[in-house]
Amino acid sequence: MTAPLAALRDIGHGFGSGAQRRAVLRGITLDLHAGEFVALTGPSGSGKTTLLTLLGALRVPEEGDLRLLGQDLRGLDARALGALRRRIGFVFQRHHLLRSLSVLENVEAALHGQPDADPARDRAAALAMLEAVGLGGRGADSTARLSGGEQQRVAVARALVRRPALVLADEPTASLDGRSGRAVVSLLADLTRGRDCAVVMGTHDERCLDLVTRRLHMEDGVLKQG
Amino acid sequence: MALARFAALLAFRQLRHRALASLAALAGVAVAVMLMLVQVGFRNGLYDSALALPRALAADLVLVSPGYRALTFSPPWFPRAALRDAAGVAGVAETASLYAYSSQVRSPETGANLSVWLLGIDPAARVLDLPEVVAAQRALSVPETALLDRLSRQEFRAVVDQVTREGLARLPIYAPSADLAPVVTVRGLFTLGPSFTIDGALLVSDLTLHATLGVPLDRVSIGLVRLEPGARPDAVAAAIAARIEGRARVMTRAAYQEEERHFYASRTPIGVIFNVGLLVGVAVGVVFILQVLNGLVDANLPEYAVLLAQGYRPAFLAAVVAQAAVAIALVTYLPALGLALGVTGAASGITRLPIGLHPGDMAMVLALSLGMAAVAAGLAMLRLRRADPLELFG
Repeated sequence: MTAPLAALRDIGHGFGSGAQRRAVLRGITLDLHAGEFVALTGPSGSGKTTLLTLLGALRVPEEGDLRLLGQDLRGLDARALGALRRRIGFVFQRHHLLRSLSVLENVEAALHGQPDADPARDRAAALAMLEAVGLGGRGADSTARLSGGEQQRVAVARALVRRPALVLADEPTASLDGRSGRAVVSLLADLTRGRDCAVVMGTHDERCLDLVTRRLHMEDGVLKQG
Repeated sequence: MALARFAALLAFRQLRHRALASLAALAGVAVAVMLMLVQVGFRNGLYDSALALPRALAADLVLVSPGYRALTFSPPWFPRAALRDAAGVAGVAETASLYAYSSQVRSPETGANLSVWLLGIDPAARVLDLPEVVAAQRALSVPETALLDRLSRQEFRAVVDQVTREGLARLPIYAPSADLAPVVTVRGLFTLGPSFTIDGALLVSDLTLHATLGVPLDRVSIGLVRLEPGARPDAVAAAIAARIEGRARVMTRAAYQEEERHFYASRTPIGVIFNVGLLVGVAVGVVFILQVLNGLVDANLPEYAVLLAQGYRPAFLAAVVAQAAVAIALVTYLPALGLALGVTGAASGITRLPIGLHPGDMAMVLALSLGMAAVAAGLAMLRLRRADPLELFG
């Protein structure tokens, strides 16, 4: 079996200090492997978001060991965490596309920060990714001309165009109607299938859970297999 | 390189995207820059008008009274004997005297008193290197004859027109000590330009000046010294200073002009006011640029946070803000320059002062605009700290 993309061992994390301290994650142990599409469910305040931010190298856990894409998160400085994040794709609840750029430029923007950026190759990759999310021919459009579902599909293209090893999606269907939401999750599943990539999707949306390969449920900062 | 290009593209596009929302603040930046340019134009009017006469002096060295501060109104005099002594110093080719007194003339049109400089020269001496003066100054040998500066203020327009049309015009001089106002006959025009303090200039012979105002001719306002070819101005100035023993101050032509400029720049309220006005323009410009940049950052905080989540470094966002600031400075500069040229041109036409902008001033204000942009960008970058990827999670 190949090494996990993310290996979490007895992770604990909290906020505040002293009497005000509140533990948000407790004893989380988890391996994530390439090819998995994981749904992370649980009520609000259960720790889903904190776990996603740890997996996104946006935070370093206070307790336990977290190896992400082969690197121990502890001891990495801001620059190294930034470099690590370039191998992770993010899809948020809202698309947060750059409104002043075209659809194609938004997708390309994900590639400019890469150390091996090549304008011609990046443009070809961005066009191919737009084609893959069903927005081929819309590259020159302003993002304002797209529907909410289409904008979220551009966000998916932006997250996947770098061929990330790990994709983190935080409530990607929350601001979409049922049909558009399912289409977006379907797209995520289709485009990551067969790649050396894992997807973790924090969600409340029960209608999309049939599309995932594994369910994890959180309650009070504790992880339970679904 | 691709990253730098992307930062420039993003800065430009985001500015353009918010152009309408930022229109008032962008107009504010343009107005602030225009005010800076106009201040500089007015300051130039002050300096250039003050230096018009010093620049016209046909001299390598200049002698003035020890109490002399600047060529305003009636400068203090020094004894002509000192100039005679200077003429005997090795290296001096010739000397000449200029008498400068402020007085008043009565407008033939309105009867109002107008301030005027009465400049007295020996009609046979080379005093002013102004072509029209050189050509006509012999005529000043005729008593009560004068030449009038054609750039004197509008109030002299009727006299200038009359001289142009008829070849002469009579002008009464206000002389409180005389029973009847002496009258000079203007028989020609020359080009010098008014100053901030004096409405016009009349050139007469030293004898006419003496007859009109009763000023003794052994009291010289400005002494002019021309050197022999090859003589070193500094060395001759030192030798003259030693010879005249403190009865006058001696300066090179360049030092004299610089002293005049410095007087207006730092010793008069008006020079200080222009400089303060320039600084106020800078401060107002910084505030307006900051307003545009803060609006830009606030409108794009979540998007910037996404870029940080994608691995972009905070320095990239700082570069976007910095380039937006530079773009604001450049985009607002051209309309500001156009407006400023219009305003200074109109002011120059009305006042006849040499109000205007030199290429160096335009470059200086552009540099100040870029400086304003740098300060505003530095302040706006503090706001970038609020771009936090963690805030993107529900």
